[in-house]
Amino acid sequence: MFNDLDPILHSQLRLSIVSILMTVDEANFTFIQETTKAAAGNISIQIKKLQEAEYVKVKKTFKNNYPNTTIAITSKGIKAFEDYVNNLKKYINPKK
Amino acid sequence: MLFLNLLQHNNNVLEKSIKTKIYAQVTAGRLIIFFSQLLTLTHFYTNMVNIINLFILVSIFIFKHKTMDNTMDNTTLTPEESLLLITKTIEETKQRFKENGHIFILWGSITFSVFFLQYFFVLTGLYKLFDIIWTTILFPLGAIYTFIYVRKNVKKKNLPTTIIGRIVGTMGWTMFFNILILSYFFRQQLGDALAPIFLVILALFIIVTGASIKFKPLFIGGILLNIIGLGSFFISRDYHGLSMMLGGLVGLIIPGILLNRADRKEHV
Repeated sequence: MFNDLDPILHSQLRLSIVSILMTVDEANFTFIQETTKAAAGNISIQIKKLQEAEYVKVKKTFKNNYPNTTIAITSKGIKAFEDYVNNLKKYINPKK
Repeated sequence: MLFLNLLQHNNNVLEKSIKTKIYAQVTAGRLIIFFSQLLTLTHFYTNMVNIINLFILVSIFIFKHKTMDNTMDNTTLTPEESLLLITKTIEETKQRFKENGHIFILWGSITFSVFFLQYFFVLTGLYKLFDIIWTTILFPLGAIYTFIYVRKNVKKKNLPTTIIGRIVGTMGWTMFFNILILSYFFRQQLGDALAPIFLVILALFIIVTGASIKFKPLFIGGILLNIIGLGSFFISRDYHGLSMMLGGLVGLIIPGILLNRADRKEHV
């Protein structure tokens, strides 16, 4: 139906994750989970999908002996998000 | 067994409810096979078992493909819903970074107290006992408290770094160390200009912070503090303490209290 909209971003959870990452330098997995209130497994799948599209980069480290996953948006991801928002605007206001 | 293996392979992908549905399907399929096998006395029944077997296999594949696609895409969004979702998520993320004004109130109170105490000690003749060095000890103590408070807050809320956070943080610490160095080592060179410079540097930090977090009272407080700072160049050094107290009140304590109120209102 919405041909110009990036299918990678045109999903509720993936769009939420990218929106969060647009406002921060990088976010850890817990922060994304707390903000989106989604299940950890579902977030993992969506992050993997975004990573495959090279929209985000994932860094896995250890913090106080606990695994710490941080996710940051890439320049390709920023460009895709901007294009997505511009296309959304076109759908909502086709005259502009 | 083949079906169960397929399910186990995709265990991490499928939602709990979906898994239950598939298990139900498999169980039903196995029951049919079991009863069919009981009846495999003729060729007809053997073929029937194979057909049912194939049917279940294909249906599970189709069902699984559909459910996997659903978990990835969740729901189809309209452009309006997408924009609303973006706005809502960004707003929720920003809410988690909201400043409660605690640090501003703290620094305003420290500034006010230090200069109030100095006036008090001068008036009561206790100035020699409580030299300026003793009163200004409060500033390094405030810095230590701020450092611990910020670190704890970041850890507790799992807060990531933001551009605004980095700008405000770097500016705050640079301002603090510069004021500290100026007041301890360049006191004589600066002479009467020390307090006005102190206030102007502080005003710069507050204006930038107010503009960054888009909080008008802080921005206005910063401008007023800047005016007080510049005005202090024209008054006698004896009254600089009063300028500092007024600056602390107008630029830090009042905006800090308003910021705290705004934060509480949003959390009610």
